[in-house]
Amino acid sequence: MTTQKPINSKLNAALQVASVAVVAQASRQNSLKEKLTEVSVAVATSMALTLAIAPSDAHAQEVNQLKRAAQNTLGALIGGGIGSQFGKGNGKTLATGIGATTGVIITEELRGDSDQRRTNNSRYDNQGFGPRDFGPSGLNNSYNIGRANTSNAVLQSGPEPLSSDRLNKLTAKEQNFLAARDQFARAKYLALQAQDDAVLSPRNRQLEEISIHAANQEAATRNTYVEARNEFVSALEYFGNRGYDVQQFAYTYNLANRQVTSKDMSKRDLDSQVSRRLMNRIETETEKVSEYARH
Amino acid sequence: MLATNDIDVALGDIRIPSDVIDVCIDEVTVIIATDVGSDVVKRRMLADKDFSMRSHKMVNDILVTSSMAQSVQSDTEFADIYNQIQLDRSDVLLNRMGLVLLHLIAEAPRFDMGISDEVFKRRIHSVSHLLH
Repeated sequence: MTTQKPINSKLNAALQVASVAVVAQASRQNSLKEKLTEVSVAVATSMALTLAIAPSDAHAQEVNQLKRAAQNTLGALIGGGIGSQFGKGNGKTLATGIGATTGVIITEELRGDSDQRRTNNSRYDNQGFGPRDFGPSGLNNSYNIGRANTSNAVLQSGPEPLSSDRLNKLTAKEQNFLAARDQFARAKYLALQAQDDAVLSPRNRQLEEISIHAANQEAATRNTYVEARNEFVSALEYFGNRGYDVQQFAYTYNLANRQVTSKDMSKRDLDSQVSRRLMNRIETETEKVSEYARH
Repeated sequence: MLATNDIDVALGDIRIPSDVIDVCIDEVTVIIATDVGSDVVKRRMLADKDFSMRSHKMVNDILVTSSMAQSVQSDTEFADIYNQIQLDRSDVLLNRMGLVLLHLIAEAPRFDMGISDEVFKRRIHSVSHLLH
């Protein structure tokens, strides 16, 4: 078998997430946990914990895939008892060290990227002028315009697995919601820019018309967003309240309960940039850790 | 000594997030399309509902196996797991997808889980025999 195409960073990230998820779940199974290396359990534990708390900003939707998988893994780890999974004596120290190193790398990378984007977009974030940020007002969710961009919404989830058909439909609704959110954020950004231009040239009819058009576009995408958001959230809450396992959608659910700002506009290449930097650093650090393990 | 049935059940309980599987299928689809010059996987996915489900299951099984291959201590212990794996061999296109994915997994950078590259690649190579 030959393939000349280089492996892309998104796939790399997916493979890393898969290995974390598998090791974390295997470490809970009596028949498998004794077979695992201490290092693998430590790496999986640390990665899962770190990824689950790493990018706290709303624009982290680009690394949604990593986040959501990590949240699944986190649940598995908590259920199994994290502390009991580590080794003994020197092995424990080494395993903990390696896990912590990996975790720190990922946190730094994801947070570093978040900080950069926040700085780049700060002009459009709640500066006290222009259209105010819009927030979701769906089922069971009272929303106040201008609230902080945080959410305490807790998704109910049970142990019953969803059938693959239902899971696929929920995933489709989730994708629809994320796409609508992305469009809305982009329209919001363009409307703010157009308004800025119109304010700077008050007698320019063309800019005024562009600004009005952009505002109309924003309103249209807002409606689409609200519809997609409500559809996704209500379906998710319905199945969660009925005792089905919908934990994997927890991160997106959290996004759905946050206000949308212009900085949530997706940069299509962001995920690959984050993953590429991440992989480079992990490779370097892994070499150091291996060196340490050999001594 | 644990019953092999326990391992089989334990492996069956492990789940990979569906979006991770989707990324793998997308990547494999692109590579196969590049290799053979047409979008055969996409067309098959659209035409055959069953194919889509089977490809998800196969990718899930491969990801579980390959993840265990890089984190299980000894070859003997990996053999216990290997003996429980049954990959779908009934479809030529599925086989091809599986082989492409295994190749990508073997070449991708990975965390140091305490298993050397050489051992890992040897294990992945043995898994690929399950598709032939």
